[in-house]
Amino acid sequence: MAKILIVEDEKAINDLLKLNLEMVGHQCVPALTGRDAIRAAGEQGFDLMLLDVMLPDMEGFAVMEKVRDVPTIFLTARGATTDKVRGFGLGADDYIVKPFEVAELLVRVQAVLRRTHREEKEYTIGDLTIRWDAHEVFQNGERVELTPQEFTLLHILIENRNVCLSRQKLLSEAWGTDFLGESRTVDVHIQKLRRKLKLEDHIKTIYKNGYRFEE
Amino acid sequence: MKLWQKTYLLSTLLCALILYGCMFGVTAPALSVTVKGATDAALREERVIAGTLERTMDQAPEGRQLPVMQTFLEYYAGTGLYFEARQDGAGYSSLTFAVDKAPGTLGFLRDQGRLYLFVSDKLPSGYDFLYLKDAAATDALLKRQVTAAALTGTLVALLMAAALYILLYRVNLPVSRLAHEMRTPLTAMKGYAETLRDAKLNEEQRYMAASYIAEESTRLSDISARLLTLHNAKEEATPFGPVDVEELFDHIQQTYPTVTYEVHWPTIFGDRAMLSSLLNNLVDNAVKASPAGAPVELRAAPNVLAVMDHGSGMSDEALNYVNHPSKFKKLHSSGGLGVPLCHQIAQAHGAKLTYARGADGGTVATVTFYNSLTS
Repeated sequence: MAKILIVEDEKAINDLLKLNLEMVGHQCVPALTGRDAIRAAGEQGFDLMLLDVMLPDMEGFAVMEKVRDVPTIFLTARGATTDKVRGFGLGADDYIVKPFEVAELLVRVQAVLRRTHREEKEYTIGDLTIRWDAHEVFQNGERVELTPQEFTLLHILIENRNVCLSRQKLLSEAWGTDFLGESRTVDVHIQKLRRKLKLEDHIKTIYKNGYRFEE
Repeated sequence: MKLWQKTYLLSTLLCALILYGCMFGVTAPALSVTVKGATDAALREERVIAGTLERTMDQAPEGRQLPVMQTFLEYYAGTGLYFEARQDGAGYSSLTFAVDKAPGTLGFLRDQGRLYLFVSDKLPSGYDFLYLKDAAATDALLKRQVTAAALTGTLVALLMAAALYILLYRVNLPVSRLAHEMRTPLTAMKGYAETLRDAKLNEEQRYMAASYIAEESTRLSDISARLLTLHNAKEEATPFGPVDVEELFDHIQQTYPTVTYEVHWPTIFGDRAMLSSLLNNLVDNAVKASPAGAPVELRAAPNVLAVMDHGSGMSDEALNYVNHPSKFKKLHSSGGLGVPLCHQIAQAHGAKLTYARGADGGTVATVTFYNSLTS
């Protein structure tokens, strides 16, 4: 669980980001203006900041210059190459182009949290405990052996918990974009995970869409 | 690169090319006149000098011809004229550098950056005669002509480029702005739809997501209406006519009963529909900003229309936006035609719309007409 500062002046989009990030277990603080964001960042620490480039009171980049030491993903309009260059020049960790896909956003957020070592170290659900950095899974204190592929798949499902991921998305995230597998591959691995870890109640099949890890 | 920027670059390039082509077409004959004038003068001068020289030598005693020639030609020293007359290796030369030109030719040559005009001739007495004239003055004249042409061309091209830029920028900006504005509702709608599809939401969250989708689609249709109005304002150049200000104000008062008005400028020359839409917008905003029942004042003074309210006024940020809608982001979305359109209507009338804080803290929107056409 990470603490995320959402700087976006459009309430609709701010709420959208908050809804989805809280869904996967993060704690969010919304800011509708650059000034609010700078104040919030001065009062408390954050693991990540989502920053809209175009704010009513100041440029997003100005916020970035004031709020140091918080990994930042900035939100920009399509085709604004200069924004990207400027953002990266200021040390941004990633950017997301509007209109974005929610699943894509969540994956990017996780990627930045991982890169900046701010992701959760351990996850517990029921009698299951997973240590992400050690790649270890324990059930009732007993170690359960998972293949690296199964572990990656489980990691992605849990990182995006409560959000449905399509088979295509799971393939590209867990196997890599170069993998020429079929969506059937995903189904097989999901079955194995469910059986090995008794996660039948938590890994849900979503009709016509994919899979969702539910807590 | 955006389309209008491409259009701009291409048309500027084309204009510049045509312009330079024209400048060249105008300058080339002028240059050739200068050159021809200089060569003709040189040729005439050479003829006179050569003729005189020949006669002088004819009259000289036998064997004294060479010194006579020398004396005759030395007379020209320091006048910018140089000569060489040779026969079988013997003769006279005042040249400072070697020139080898076949007899019967004339033209320009350059030595150490200095321009000279030469005429090479054969005298009846058998001498090869070379006439060389310092043509620095002609050179300077030619350079002046070329520089003047290039400068004029560049200046006109720059002016044209600037005018074209303003034109294209002005025409394109509001549309691109609205297109940009569409992105927010689109992003929100897409995101909430995906969330509804993919996430496990509770009743309250589902309600929120669906409400946002409904709300944002209203906003989209509002933007689309504005685009349409903008398009119409731009395309339909309805001919201007006299507009009765009193009647215009009266009409607005019927819609907004709190409006009071004063008319000291009876007729504007303009588009009634557009002006009415502009005033309606300004008054609508003023009424919204005022406490319920507070008066909104409309005033027409020569070349000025003003809308005053006694509301709480705008923040500096909001004032910045309404005065320069192309530079700042809108603070809050609202219905209506929008500030960019108001500016555009004012512009179409050769007027300028400005917002300022009134004496009592309210807002004053002023439309000042600069164009003699409208006033």
